[in-house]
Amino acid sequence: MASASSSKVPAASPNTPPDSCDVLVYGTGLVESIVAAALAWQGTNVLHLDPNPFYGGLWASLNLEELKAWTDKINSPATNDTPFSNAYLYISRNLDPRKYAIDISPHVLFTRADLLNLLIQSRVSRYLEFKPLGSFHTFEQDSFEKVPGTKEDIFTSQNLTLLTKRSLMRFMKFVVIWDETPDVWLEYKGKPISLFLKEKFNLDEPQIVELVHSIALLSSPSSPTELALDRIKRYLSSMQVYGNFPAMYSMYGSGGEIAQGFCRSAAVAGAVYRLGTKLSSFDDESGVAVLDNGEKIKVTEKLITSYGLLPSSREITRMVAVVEKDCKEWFAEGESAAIVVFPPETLDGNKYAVQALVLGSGSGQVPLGQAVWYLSTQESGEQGRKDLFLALEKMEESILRESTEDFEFDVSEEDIAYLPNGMPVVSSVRLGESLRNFTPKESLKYLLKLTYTQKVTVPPPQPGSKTIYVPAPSIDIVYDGVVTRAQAIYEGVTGTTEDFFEVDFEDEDDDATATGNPPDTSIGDVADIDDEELGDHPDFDEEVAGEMTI
Amino acid sequence: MASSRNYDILIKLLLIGDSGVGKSCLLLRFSEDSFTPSFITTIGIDFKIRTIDLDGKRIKMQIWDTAGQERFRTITTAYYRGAMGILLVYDVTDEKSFNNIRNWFANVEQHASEGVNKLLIGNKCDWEEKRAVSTEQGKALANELGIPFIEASAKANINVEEAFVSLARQIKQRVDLASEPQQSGSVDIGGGSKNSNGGSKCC
Repeated sequence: MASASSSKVPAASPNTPPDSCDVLVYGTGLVESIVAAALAWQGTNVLHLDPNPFYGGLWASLNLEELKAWTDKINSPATNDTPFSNAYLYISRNLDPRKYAIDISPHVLFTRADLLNLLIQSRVSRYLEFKPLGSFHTFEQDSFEKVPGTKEDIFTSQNLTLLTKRSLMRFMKFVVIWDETPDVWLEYKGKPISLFLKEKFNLDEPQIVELVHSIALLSSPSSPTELALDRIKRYLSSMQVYGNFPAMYSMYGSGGEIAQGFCRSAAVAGAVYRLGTKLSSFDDESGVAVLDNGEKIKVTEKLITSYGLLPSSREITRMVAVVEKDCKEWFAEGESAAIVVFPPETLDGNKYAVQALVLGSGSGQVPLGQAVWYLSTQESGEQGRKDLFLALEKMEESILRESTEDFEFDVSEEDIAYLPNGMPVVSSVRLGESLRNFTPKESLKYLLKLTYTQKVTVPPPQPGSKTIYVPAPSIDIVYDGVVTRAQAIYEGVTGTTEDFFEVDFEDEDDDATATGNPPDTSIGDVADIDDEELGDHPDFDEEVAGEMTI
Repeated sequence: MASSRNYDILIKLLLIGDSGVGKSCLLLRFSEDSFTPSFITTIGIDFKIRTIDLDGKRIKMQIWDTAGQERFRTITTAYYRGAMGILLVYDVTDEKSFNNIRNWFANVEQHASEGVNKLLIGNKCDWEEKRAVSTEQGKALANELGIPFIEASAKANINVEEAFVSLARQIKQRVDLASEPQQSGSVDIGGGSKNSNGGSKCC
């Protein structure tokens, strides 16, 4: 048990860098920063360096000046320490560079996620601000459908037949206990989720697509069944934890901001920070690290580094666009974010899904009246860029149509469904309309456009005994695996994960008392429709009614 | 929830300035009325809380320390977010720390939100025999930067209370002038998230 009060150690002189440390952490990306904080609180003497003048490493969010420098750097043939390359950047004139925070590896946080638990446990959450993300859309047959993420959505949907509703309800009953009922899915282990959903639950293609790509946020329909089930369950169980949304995002940037929070936590526990400092060499035998300014540092335990990874043949493609539109048509009431998914085969033969994260000015990443779109695909090269540009085009058409002023926004009878108690519910945002017959009268102004590729990297085949490599961020838009990786690295240094962030904090703030866990709610309890109401609805059989409360 | 709140206004303050100028000592003097003479680089202090009464209002002051990240100018940009007041501190016996105030000021201008209240503090003013920066120099710099100025001593407990309270008063006046606070739309995830305008949630 480390204590917040016992970690005061006298320094020789305030501005003289230490000449030795137990662990040298190189790179301030999310995983490294979690490890640095965990080690510092455990009592390890940590020196944390980053070659960049900013925090976040491969997870950073950058203002426009930093973004320009970053694109120059990753495009330079002399740069061999980054998985990013091939950047094309356009920035409109007269933008205030400091009013933007562009995320180079954007991520969202489900409310049921190990990272969120760690943020609360470590109290790093109090350095950060999170906003809700409740709006998920799927692009289907040239239109954008809002994803029915709750039983209420399914119940009130006008697009689903009763048979489909029943199949979906049956699947949702199963998926929340999928890990306890292996007899249902075990024969599909490692096999495509699409096959499982079709054969076991008679689900139709549109529902399969939504479940796999928009709810599980997976890229390929052949993703393994057990992974997809786990992620569908996570989406559903994340609903109603904090409100009517399954996910959140941190303001001003994703992983890089969270990394900064862990860096501050590490500093509070005694870790020493230096940015803009390059590691010139590290001798694995003696543990001597040489910095670019000639300083030598004796590392007694380990070097943890996110640099020196080797590129593999796989690469992914990313795009960022800042538009002069607030895009509020895509957001849920009071929110400033949406996810739009283009499933495979919806964009002139795209093999993988294209995911787009849309953030409005409420994210702190762009000024008022603007929005930033982050698109990504696992497709590489020309095809990857083509898929992203096609998706961009569809989004542009859609937002122009949605925001066109002479467009009549009357809610017609068809948009309204009725709950069993007679309450009318508007079935979805009007993104559902087809784009086919729409010709925009205005054009969308792009203030920034950036495309780049990210190579999937692997650690060198023979790492030194003192060196631990940190993997680069995956293309996954969720933070899955981050905490597990940090714990594995922590274990590699200390030999255990038992005291990982086991900190006895002093209570400085009565308002900030850690509550330990997010509020406990059963899955979908707001969307629950009780038996009595269903009793009036002969369309729903007993089995469905019985599963409403989990 | 709001009914159990024990304050009317919550303000977040930051301390900034070179290492060794006495930021943590000022903080500890104000929040706990204590002073530690031995030289200790800031490790272990995240933030401190003190609630004061000001013109009939309960002002809860949450004052954040640098956690030592000023040593190599590696303050996180996140440190500045949401700050309503910033205390720029130098040591009157250390000219370099005084000259660096301009750099810290530029840093604040870059990362803190617009309209944040600032105060320049010349600490260790009790140590006359070692003084290297005159009161006039301090005043002149404050004028140049357009911010108020005070000399203080955490050790001798001179003007510490005045410094924090005067900054709190300016912030209160600014907040009072502003209309209803805007809904931030943030999620209160528990564990003491930064956005604490939802009030107390003791467990």
